Amino acid sequence: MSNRDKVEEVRAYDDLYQWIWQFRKILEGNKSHQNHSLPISEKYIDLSKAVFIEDPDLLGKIELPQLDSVTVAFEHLLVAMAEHRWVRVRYGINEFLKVYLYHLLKSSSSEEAKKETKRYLSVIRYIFEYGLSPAFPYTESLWSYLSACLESTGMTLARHDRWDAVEVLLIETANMGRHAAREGLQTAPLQHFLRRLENHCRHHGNDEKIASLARNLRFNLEV
Amino acid sequence: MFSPELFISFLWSAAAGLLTLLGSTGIFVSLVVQRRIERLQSILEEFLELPYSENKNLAGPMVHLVRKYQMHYLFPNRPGRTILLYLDFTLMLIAFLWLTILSLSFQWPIDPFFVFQCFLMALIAGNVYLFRRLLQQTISPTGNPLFNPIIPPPYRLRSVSYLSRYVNVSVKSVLQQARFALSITADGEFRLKQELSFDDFYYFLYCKEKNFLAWGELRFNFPPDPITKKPTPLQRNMEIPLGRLTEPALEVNQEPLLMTFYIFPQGEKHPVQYDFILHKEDEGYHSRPFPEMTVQSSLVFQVKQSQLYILEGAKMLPYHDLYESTYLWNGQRYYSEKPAEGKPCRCEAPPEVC
Repeated sequence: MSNRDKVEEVRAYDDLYQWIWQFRKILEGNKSHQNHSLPISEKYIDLSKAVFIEDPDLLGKIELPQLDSVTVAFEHLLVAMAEHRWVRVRYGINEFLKVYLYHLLKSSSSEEAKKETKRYLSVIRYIFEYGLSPAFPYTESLWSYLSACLESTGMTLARHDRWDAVEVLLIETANMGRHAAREGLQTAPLQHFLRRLENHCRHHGNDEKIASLARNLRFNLEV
Repeated sequence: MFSPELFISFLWSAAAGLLTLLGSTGIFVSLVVQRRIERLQSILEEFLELPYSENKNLAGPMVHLVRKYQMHYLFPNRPGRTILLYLDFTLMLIAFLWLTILSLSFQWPIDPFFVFQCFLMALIAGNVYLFRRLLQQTISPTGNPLFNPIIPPPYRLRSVSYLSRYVNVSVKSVLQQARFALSITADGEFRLKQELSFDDFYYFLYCKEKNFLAWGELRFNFPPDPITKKPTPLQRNMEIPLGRLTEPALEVNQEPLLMTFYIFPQGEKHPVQYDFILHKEDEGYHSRPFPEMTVQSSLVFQVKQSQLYILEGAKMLPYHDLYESTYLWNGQRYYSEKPAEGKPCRCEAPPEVC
């Protein structure tokens, strides 16, 4: 192998590793890295939040919203998706859910867990929706990958008895599943996950509420 | 007062007129019936064409179509019943007129020719009855032997044998939508899971690692819903117990378990073969989704008088000779934990929705 080929190869590896590394770094989100000279404001006006603006002067100022690491990482993933970089998308989703699990299992508050789960899963939902578009070639692979990842995530949460988070995850996942079934995508892995979770709840968790929720969602997945 | 001859000829013409009117009911019958049959058949066709797009998840649309079919099948048939009422009344009137004519023109004494006359009249009456039945079955075309082959009752749509025997449909693609899965529960029960409850086929299961054998005919019987009284043609999420492993064999931890599962639909000659791979998951074993599915052409079978005969490739079914006599199409499920001993056990546990 000539030296030049070697360099090319190293660069090819480096590119990918670099991307995944960077993605993980973004996710870990260190606020101190943000540019402090920008006019980032906590009072950023978001019209979708149904605000009533009394003082028109408030609109004249340039203010920037406070972005969190999840949003920035999502932006990154979307670029990878638009470029059809399946490997990046795949590892991106994986890292994304891993960071979510890490944060969640470390924290203890129930309200926080629900909010966090919603925040992370809304991103997963966007990714799934983008994946359904005809412009994205790996629709089926993306969906089966997502189902597999969500199964592991859900089961891990259940093993750690984080039922509040499991509940949100279940509902969001089933929503995606119903959408997928309408598009003719396979839901067998998801059915399996819901069944497994139901069994787990009945045998270990003693959590009848989650068990019946999982059962109900499973029966309504394809109706 | 009419003269008797004139009155009799008047009765004749009245009977003839009524018969002509009866003939014109044909128009109403076809109006009512044709629309219904057409509707049902187009749904049936849609259902049969669905599975040809193989790689898609069609469980939802299939259930939807079966329900739609059932709805049209069960629709109250009030115009049909009204027509039938008119029909019966007219026929009774005609019969009454004929009997009146006959009694008016009856001549004493009885001669031997009378027996022959009676015989002819009985024949005519029988024929009238047959045609009345034909019309009755045409007017309400559902649930009678005349029309069953063209518009089968909704529960027939889950029968694999029906679909393969009378309807030329690819069994493999239909079964793909049923999404079969196998699992062994924590207490050692072998369970077959179906996403859509297809039945009416013979199956054969062999697990080499556990030396476990199960075979039998799968037939469901879903009673109508006790509350809404609606029949249930197709169920979702069925689990069928196929047999049971006892303690010692269960405790040996082997992974993965490979299982071969054959399905023998009545209208085919080659069975469909599934290769399941089971992994330990939580307490039991579960098969991975999307098992390998092929039509096994080295096995040839035939069903004669509800007995399954393996014509070629019997070697592929382990312990075939020992259990051949139990390959009966009688809705029984058998299994054997120690197949070499030749003692089949009956699996009594009923299928359940869960």
